[in-house]
Amino acid sequence: MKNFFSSVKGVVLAGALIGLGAAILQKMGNPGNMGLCVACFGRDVAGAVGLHRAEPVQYLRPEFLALVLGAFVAALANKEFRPRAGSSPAARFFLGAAVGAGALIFLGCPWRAMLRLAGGDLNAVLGLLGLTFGIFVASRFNLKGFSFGVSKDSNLMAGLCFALFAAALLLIRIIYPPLDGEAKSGLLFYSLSGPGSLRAPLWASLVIALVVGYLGQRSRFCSVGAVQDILLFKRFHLLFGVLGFILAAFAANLVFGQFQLGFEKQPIAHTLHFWNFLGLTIVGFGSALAGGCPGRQLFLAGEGDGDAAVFVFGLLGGLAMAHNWGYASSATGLGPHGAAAGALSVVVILAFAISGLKKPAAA
Amino acid sequence: MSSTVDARGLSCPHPLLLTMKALADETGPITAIVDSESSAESLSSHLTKNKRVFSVTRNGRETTFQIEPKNS
Repeated sequence: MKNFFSSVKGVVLAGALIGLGAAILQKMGNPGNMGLCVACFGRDVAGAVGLHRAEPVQYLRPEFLALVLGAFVAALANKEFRPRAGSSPAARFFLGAAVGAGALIFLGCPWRAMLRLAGGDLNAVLGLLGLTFGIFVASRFNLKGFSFGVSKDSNLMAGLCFALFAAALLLIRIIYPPLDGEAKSGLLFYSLSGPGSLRAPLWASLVIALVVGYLGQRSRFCSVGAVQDILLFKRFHLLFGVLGFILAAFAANLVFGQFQLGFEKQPIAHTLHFWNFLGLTIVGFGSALAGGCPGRQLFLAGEGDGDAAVFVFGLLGGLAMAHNWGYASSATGLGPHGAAAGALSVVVILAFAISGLKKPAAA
Repeated sequence: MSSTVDARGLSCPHPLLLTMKALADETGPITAIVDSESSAESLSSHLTKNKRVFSVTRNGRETTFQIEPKNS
């Protein structure tokens, strides 16, 4: 147990560096209050490879891939890389898809909710309250015995494939860089306007996200675990990391002139309080059942957890379909099918939660 | 009577949750087995915070916690 980043000081430092890294990435070109966002970046990655064709949100975000690779390196270096899978993978796919829908109804994953708060966007308060409520509901199910069952150790490639997938996509990004005024470069789509056209330089995205991935794996940083640990165990450890994240991003935003207080005219955000609340309720509920926030799922996938990898594939699917089927929100408000997708996501997660209370018959 | 919590293969928050449940209805020493480093860390820090006396043995990836009864 000589892992510094699992101590209180360590998790605060890790959280603060992650928040700082996000603020720097925004300063260097990423969209407003979106220095790092697992949902938004997953959506951009899905668009870059053509899983959806919404032109403003297509960019193979190197951060999304480097988060996985940083965690992979951390796990390998500390002998924690462990191929494992088998805890209700298909259920996790659909949970990931539902979480993706919730995140795009709100417009951001829990990390972005914290970044939006640190940037003065008060709509994030509704989102974070919703996130807490969602985790609270999941914690009641966990207390009553909810489980997706145990995972089993697996073989090398089963654990390695997701990190290799991330590395391969990164290689494609390097082979086909964005070309001036071109919406396509080789295999990849590139936004010419909108959030997808706002990007930090490749090297900055890579360096910062690799470090964040490393720190995330070592510190077990998890925005959903932070709340759930308090609700279940009165354990504040991870919350300190979250507070470090928010305060560091807030301080950096003040220095960089990225702070603007209010509800109106916030970057890539809408002011529908109910839907901001419900969007992250879905994310909190679904992520807590799956055992971690979307960022944590990326770290786990990097360290060989095949179930987390399936969650991330579900997330990518849900994010891509959010644009194909019009359930992603935008600055002007809810998408045409946002309400339906939100309602369906709640029903789907609730069905998994109720079903998971019943223990499978002994073999 | 002693009891065992086998939390191998379970993900957060279940290893800690099952162990704390067992401690809540404890009637003797409790053995908890986890197989992830993050679970071992959180269990260790949480037991320490709750002033529980325990010993730890490691066998490969598995970490076994022997938790003493509260008033021994």
